[in-house]
Amino acid sequence: MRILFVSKLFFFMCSVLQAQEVNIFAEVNYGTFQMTSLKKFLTPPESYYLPLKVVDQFPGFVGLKAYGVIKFSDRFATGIFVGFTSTGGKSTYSDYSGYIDHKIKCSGFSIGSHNEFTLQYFDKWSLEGTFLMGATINQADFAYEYETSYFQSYISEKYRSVNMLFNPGLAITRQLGNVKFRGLISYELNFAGDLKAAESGEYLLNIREPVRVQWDGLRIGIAVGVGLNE
Amino acid sequence: MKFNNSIFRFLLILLSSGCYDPQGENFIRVIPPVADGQAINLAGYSDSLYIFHDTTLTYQVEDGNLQLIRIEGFLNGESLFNNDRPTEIRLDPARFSNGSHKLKVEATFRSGSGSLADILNQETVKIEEDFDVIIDLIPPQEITIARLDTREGSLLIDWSEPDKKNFLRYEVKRLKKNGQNEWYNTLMDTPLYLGPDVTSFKDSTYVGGEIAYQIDIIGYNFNIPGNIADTSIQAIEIQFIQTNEDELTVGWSESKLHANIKHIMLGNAGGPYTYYSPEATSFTMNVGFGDDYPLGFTVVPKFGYEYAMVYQQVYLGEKVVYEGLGTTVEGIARTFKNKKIIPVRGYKSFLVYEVNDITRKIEAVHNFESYILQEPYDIIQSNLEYHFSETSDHFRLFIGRKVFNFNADFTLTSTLTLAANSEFSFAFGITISENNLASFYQWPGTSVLVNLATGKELFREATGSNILTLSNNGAYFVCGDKLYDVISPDTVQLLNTLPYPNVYQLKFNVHNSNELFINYTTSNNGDLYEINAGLITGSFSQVTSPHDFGYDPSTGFYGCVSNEYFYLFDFSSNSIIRRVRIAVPHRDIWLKDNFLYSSHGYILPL
Repeated sequence: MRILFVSKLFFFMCSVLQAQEVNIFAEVNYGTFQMTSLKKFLTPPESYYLPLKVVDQFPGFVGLKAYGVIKFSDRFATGIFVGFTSTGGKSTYSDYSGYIDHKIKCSGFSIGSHNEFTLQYFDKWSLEGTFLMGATINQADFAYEYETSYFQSYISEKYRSVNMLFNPGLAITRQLGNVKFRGLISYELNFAGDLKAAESGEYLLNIREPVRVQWDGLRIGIAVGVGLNE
Repeated sequence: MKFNNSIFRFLLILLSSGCYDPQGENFIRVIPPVADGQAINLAGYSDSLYIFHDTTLTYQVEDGNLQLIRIEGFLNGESLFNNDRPTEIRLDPARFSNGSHKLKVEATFRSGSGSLADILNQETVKIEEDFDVIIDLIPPQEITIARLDTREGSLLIDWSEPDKKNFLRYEVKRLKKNGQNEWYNTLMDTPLYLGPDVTSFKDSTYVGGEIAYQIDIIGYNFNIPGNIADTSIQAIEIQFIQTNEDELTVGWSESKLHANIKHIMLGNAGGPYTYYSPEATSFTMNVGFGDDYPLGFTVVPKFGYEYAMVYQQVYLGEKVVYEGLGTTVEGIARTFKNKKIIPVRGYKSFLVYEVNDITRKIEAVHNFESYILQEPYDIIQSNLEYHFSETSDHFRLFIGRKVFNFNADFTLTSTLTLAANSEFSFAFGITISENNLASFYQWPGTSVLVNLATGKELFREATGSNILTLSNNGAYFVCGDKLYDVISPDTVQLLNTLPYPNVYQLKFNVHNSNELFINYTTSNNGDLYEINAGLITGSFSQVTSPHDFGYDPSTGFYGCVSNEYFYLFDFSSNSIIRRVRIAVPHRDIWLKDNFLYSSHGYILPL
């Protein structure tokens, strides 16, 4: 029954795709991230027994995205996208006797719908408004490492959460044949969920307050695409 | 489900590749620690440590600017560290050999540098100090008590310090003798330990008697018993003097153990008791001559529960005791030829002591037990009689029907067998004259006069009186109220009948055979009957029923016993010269040379 349903859906999609213009893009972008909750978590309290210092605080970083859209009219196209981005933070202390590193690595895999509204055509150029909506699956690796000449300790634990994302933006596209080059800018809003332990079992880190991954921030990127059925 | 897993794996691969890796350094410059000003000082250490027991070393660590977190000792490289007590250095000498050793003490300090390792208590600074240690578990010599006597009213035990002081304490053993004459420790249940610096001990519980002490040395792994020293101190040294005719004053000077004594009790078991002080004390008591009066004092301690007993015999006059040949005998020596002898008759036994009246020594003891045991019957064995006199060569022993005749050397010379009047015949009330005639009452019921030299009986009366006697010269024999004249060694004839019947006791004056003392069962008088005159020439009526008459030719006075007194009196004036209380029950008492003698060995000048 399931095979029959999937087969019917496949043939339906093929017939639709053969009838419509389809564009597939690969995008590289650079984003900034709010990460307020994780920055606070990374910052050692004033009473900490060593002058631990935050040396890396969730900076902007390169992300990847791919999406495909079907153009249902001259003005509107919709499709799906997948994306990946990451950042991290670190607080550390070292002297002649050893060091302490507290690291948090965050990565997010996004998937959702990609919607484009062509606002204006200029010969080979066009200006689009984009609106992405979907979910981000986050993974945060917390690593605590101590090392002296007498003692070594390394603790690493994984936590996960899921964010709802909304990403409105603008894109400008230049078409050369059936190849399209696109520059874009957008702002991502997240409705973040609390991090949860990725695996069952005993966790050593004492995360007492809810900690969230907040990818909110500006995205600037470039993409290259190819049109099918044109 | 397989579809979901594939997606998840794809996402993981994507997530783990190309992830951002946070970077950055924060190196802080910290000065590494340097040991400076730290030192370890062991308490009492000068040249070396003298270890003779399990010892926890006391130390003081100068930290400087560091903090001590661990101290550990090593003796000959062997760690003394105890995880349960990390700040102690405990040295068990039994783990090591006797002699000199090196003790290394290693102190570990927290570095205090402020570095990460320091904050994690992983960075330390160590210093070491070496100390000389002498282990000595070779026990000292045993303790010999140097002095054991009384001081300040108590008993003090002193001893000298042993040749070395590598021991923990002394154990005092206080020893008394049990029923098997073996020493036992009275402090067994509550051992008494004294510190090693003590060299004397005061026993406040001791109030007299035989006691011994032993000072043991208790070391870490040895126990050296001390030598036993014993003593016997009498709580009070009792003295008594005659302060009146029949009165003794008994007392003592302050007891050597007065500080230990609560009081001294005198009385029979169960009381009532009279209580006396251990200080100088005296009291008077009335006694009679002729025997001793045993006094038993119970000495009650102030502390503890060990009472002591002090016994003392008190008496009037002088007590005569002879010693020698491992024994003693109390009695008045009587002259037998050229010897002084004391016969002692016991149950189925008879001993004659030859004594020196000057030195009061026993020179020989003659045992006549074998003659006694020849007789098979107890009644005969226990009713022997003997006889001897100053002038006679014979010592005679009457056992049953046998009369054993011994010479002056106590060698048997002859044996005479008397005629039998029953299976169990034996003689008593014997009087023997200087010419070897003997009068006696042969049990049961026969009065006999016999010539011991020939064995011929001069008189035998089966129903005769048991009141009979014989004059010292053998001239007169009296039986009941009948006076007989011994007209030859073989013959008697009735001479007279005494003036009064019912005689109770008859006794010739041994110094004058013409005088016969008589007392009666029906009269209170004592009469002097002169045989030649056939008359009573004197009568003593000042006392009741006088008896046991005697005569002292040195004074011309007579003596007798009445109730609990001896009287020296004059027959001619019927007057009492002197009265002396005598012991009850009466002992054999006789008068001689103005002295009164008791068979139990007492002499009283009159």
